Amino acid sequence: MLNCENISFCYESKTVLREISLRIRRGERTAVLGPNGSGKTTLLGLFGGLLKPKNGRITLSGIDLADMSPTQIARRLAIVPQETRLTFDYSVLQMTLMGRYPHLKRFEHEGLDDYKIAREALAATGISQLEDRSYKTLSGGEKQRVVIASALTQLWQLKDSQKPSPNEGLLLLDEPTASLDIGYQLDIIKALLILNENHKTTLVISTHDLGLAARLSDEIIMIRHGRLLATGPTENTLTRETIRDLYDIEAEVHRNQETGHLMVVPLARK
Amino acid sequence: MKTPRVVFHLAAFAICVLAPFVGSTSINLYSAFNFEIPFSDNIDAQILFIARIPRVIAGALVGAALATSGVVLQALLRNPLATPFTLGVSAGGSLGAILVIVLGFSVSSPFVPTVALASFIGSLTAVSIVYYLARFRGNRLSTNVLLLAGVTLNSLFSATIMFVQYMADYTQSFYSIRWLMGNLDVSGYTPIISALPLLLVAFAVFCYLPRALNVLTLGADSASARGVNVLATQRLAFFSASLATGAAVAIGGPIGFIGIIIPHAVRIFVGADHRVVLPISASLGAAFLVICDIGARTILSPVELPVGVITAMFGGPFFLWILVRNQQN
Repeated sequence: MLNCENISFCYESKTVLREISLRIRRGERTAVLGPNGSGKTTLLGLFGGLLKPKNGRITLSGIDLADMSPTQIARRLAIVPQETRLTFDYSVLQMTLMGRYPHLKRFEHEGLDDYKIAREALAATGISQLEDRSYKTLSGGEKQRVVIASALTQLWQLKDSQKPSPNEGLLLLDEPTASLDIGYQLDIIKALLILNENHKTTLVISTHDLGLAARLSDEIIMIRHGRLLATGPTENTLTRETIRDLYDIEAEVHRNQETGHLMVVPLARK
Repeated sequence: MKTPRVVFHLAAFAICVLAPFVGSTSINLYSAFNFEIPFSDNIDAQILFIARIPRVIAGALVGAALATSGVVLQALLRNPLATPFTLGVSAGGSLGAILVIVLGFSVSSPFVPTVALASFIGSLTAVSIVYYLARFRGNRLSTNVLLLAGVTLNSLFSATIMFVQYMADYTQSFYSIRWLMGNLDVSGYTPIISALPLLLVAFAVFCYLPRALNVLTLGADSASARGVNVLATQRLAFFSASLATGAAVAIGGPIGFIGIIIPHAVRIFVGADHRVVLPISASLGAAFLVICDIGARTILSPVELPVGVITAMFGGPFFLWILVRNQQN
């Protein structure tokens, strides 16, 4: 679905990413791991077309991102930032409907289909009952689910005016649970798993939370100092050795008997 | 609390249509519209057509321009405290006007009054400086630089205005203070006609912006990820709002308060969707300034008050009342 060939990026004279090549397949759940300042957010910005690579190219479904208009990109992939603050207050439904921006013409208003898609997205993230609430009054976990619903509304299309068909969608999430307590983190993880399994949404999630990565991802990308350290299926990639190389820490990696997922227990700084 | 939107527009329209008939001198409507009396002898018609109607049109245009510029700038800067005067446009406009008043330049232009022209040139200068400073690094304008540059230019221009006034003689400084208080007594159609094309361009851009402004309140990155061309939207918003503000200041002087209060009052009534907020702010801004100007013309009649005094003295408590009432609900 998304293909990076040898991309590099620099802010003014500082090189942030060097010669990264990787591939994200349709329907996968990929976690991007790396210490602070390793280039995770920059990588997501490049994936999302917010930044342009200095060298190399990124293709989305075979088309170079550089050849696509912002609207064309926005119809195929959506970004969920760590936190979204509003200047003015909108209702949950209004905010969700903003996802329809790349689908409407300049002076067009949202139609019935757009409302239908927005309501489906609210249902998919489990917050239909909040539709008329004002965004500013919501808890952190609810807010984040509204932002995800808005992103889904951006990706989904209504085929034959029936159910939304989301299988083209790529969702990029930049530390989506970083500011949430553990309960809300689990809510977001559940919502994302449902999206991936029932709606075939492809997920790329940058995170510092190794537990979240182990729980949620089937593929892992590790970057450090702007270079690709390791990439591959979570089962093979999330190991003592790679974690040591990535963060300079000692950690144990177990398998949880109950859920069957890997578990990472950090022990000490090397 | 749901008032149909059309009610706002109709009420504003009715206020503007009726306003010319209210004033300190009562006019005889029958003779005002009696076209058999020669215009030069027809005092009623002269008051109505030369003094009152242009004044109401000026008030409506200035009110609509300041209110909508306020909406656009608050969205652009993502700051609810922004006003049309935040970016230094009005201070530049004021300095231009004061210089002409004090130095006594008079370019005999048949189309544009000299003071208005100087004010508009001052506004343009301020806009150019602010834009030059905030010019995009990367792919968007820096709202922080816009704000800081605007605030700094405001102080700089205000200080220069004080300096010029201090050096001026008594009469000149009296006139310039009067100008700074805001006044809609345009006495004729010339200022309106010369400002109208500028305002129409700005209003046309305002029609084009609302959906992008909605998404822009989520933040520049989020807007960009939804397919908004952020830099183009910011440029359009900045220049159209500055154009409207510059033209409004050229007509009526720096009339405060409308550009911050009308947008907030409108949001309390109809929510934050700019497709709704912008047109209603235009109507309410127009109606509010026309009503304030009726106050300015009549309260101490036959003495006229500067309309800028009325907007804040009466509008302030009124807005506080809306705010308190809204929080109780």
